Amino acid sequence: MVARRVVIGIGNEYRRDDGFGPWVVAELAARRADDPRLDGVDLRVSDGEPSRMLQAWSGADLAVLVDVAAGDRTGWCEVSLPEDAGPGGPVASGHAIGLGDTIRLARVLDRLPRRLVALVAYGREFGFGPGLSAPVAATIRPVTERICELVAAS
Amino acid sequence: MTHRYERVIDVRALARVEGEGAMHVRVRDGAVEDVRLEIYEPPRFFEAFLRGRQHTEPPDITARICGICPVAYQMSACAAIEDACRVTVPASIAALRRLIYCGEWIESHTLHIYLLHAPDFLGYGSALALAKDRRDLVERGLALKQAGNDLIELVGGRAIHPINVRVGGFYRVPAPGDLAPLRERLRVALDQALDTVRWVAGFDFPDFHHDHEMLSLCTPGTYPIETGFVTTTGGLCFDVRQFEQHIVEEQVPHSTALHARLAGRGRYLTGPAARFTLNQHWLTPLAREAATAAGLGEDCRNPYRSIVVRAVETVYAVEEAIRLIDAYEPPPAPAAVVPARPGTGRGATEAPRGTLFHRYDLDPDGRITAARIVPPTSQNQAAIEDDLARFVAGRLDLDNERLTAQCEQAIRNYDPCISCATHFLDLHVERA
Repeated sequence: MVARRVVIGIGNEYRRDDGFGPWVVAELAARRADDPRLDGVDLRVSDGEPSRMLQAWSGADLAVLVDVAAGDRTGWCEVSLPEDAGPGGPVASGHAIGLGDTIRLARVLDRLPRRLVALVAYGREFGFGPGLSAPVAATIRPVTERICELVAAS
Repeated sequence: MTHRYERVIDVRALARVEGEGAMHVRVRDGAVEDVRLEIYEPPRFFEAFLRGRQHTEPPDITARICGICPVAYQMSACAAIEDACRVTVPASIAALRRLIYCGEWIESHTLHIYLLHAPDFLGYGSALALAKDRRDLVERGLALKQAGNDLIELVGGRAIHPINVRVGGFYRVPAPGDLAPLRERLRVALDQALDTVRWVAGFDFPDFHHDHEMLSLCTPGTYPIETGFVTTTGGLCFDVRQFEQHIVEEQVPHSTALHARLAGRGRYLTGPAARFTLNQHWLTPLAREAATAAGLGEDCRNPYRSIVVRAVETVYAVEEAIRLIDAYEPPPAPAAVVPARPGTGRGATEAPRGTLFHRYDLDPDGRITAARIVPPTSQNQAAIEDDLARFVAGRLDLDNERLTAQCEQAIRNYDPCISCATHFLDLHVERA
């Protein structure tokens, strides 16, 4: 039986670097025809809303989340979840139930995938409009390649 | 010497409401002196950057105002633009609009009931804490919400900020066969919605009532969603085109959202309780039966019972979606042609949180020269503040921590969407 693998690009393509996740998913979709490692991989874009995230990754053997974080650093990092779900806190609103809250809820509901990996680029420009800043755009290729390695190994 | 005792409660960031706002209460000599619902989320200037855009653009732009109720913004925008352009869409397109709107009612009401409001009544700090004890309940809520999401996604192209809605109708319409699997999913959702009504009906509701005039669209023959006359419990009934003659907005110093009042009459309340009070006779028999069994009477003036009304409206929306799917025949064309023409158009629909009004002024090329958006939360602010003043007055024996928690719950009764209203919660209580 083939493992179910899902890649979820989180973000809004019209808020500059926040569009990193959707950009990576688009890159994977374009690359699928030439890269057999991506056969059967479920590619999705999400705004990160909790119920849709739970639906997207429930029952998956591997879920790769692609997101962006604001900060002064450049490049990207790989975080294995759920052991490191990030700091918790009170949920401020339905608009702002973050990834950490969603992972905690999934854990309580027993709806975490067998393996959850987050690939996170560091972004600086979150204004209006499409297009990534040059440092974030430069991480698309290495992040895409790492996703291909992850899905091929699962 | 008289000792003056001042008590101040500050809620600096309200939890489990949509957006950023605060509440400030000043109590002097044992009496509530001032209550301010402070919306401090920055203004987002949607009305300003709509100016100069083409008349075809508001559905896509205004959908971005809210991630919870984008369909409402799209539908009110379409109604207003089509009014300006003197176009009436065919009944088949209107039915498809009502169908996608049902999806939004289901997902928005369920989000508020399960993830934001129910934990208050059950003594939990969050849905996560509730899920640790009652996983079955949260799973039910998520499944019901998903049915709404799926409906929006099928008709609107995606579950958030739908991309398939345009002035005049849609870019493409589903084939009847596309809707069949969803109909089966909605049959399951109907049972989940009915279970939700029975669940929330069992909550302990504080004895608290208001006397606000209540306002909703009314559509003879059906429960109002995407159209209707503006009607109030005080006897007003007027066409949406007269909205601005009857509704006056004003700036208040403590809020970045405008306050709305009924001209010559004052504060009013819109939202599920108002819709139910003015329109319950148009609910489906099953939804009415569920409402009666849940203890809802001829009107709903206890804001805490709004959660029951939301659950009843969810039942209605699921049933209505099933009815619309059963009756669905694809329109001859996905959209009516809406040629540009100069003029002013007004549109209002019933967002999950209440009546949402849009107005656009168009030049001869169809460019927008002025836009006005009146969301439900800004209309409700004065009524919420009045309720809070009376609510706090009856609970002055509580310490600040408990009073703050109860004030936050009271505010959540209204499901305020601060992000939509910004032009809002921290609780500050001053006791003197």
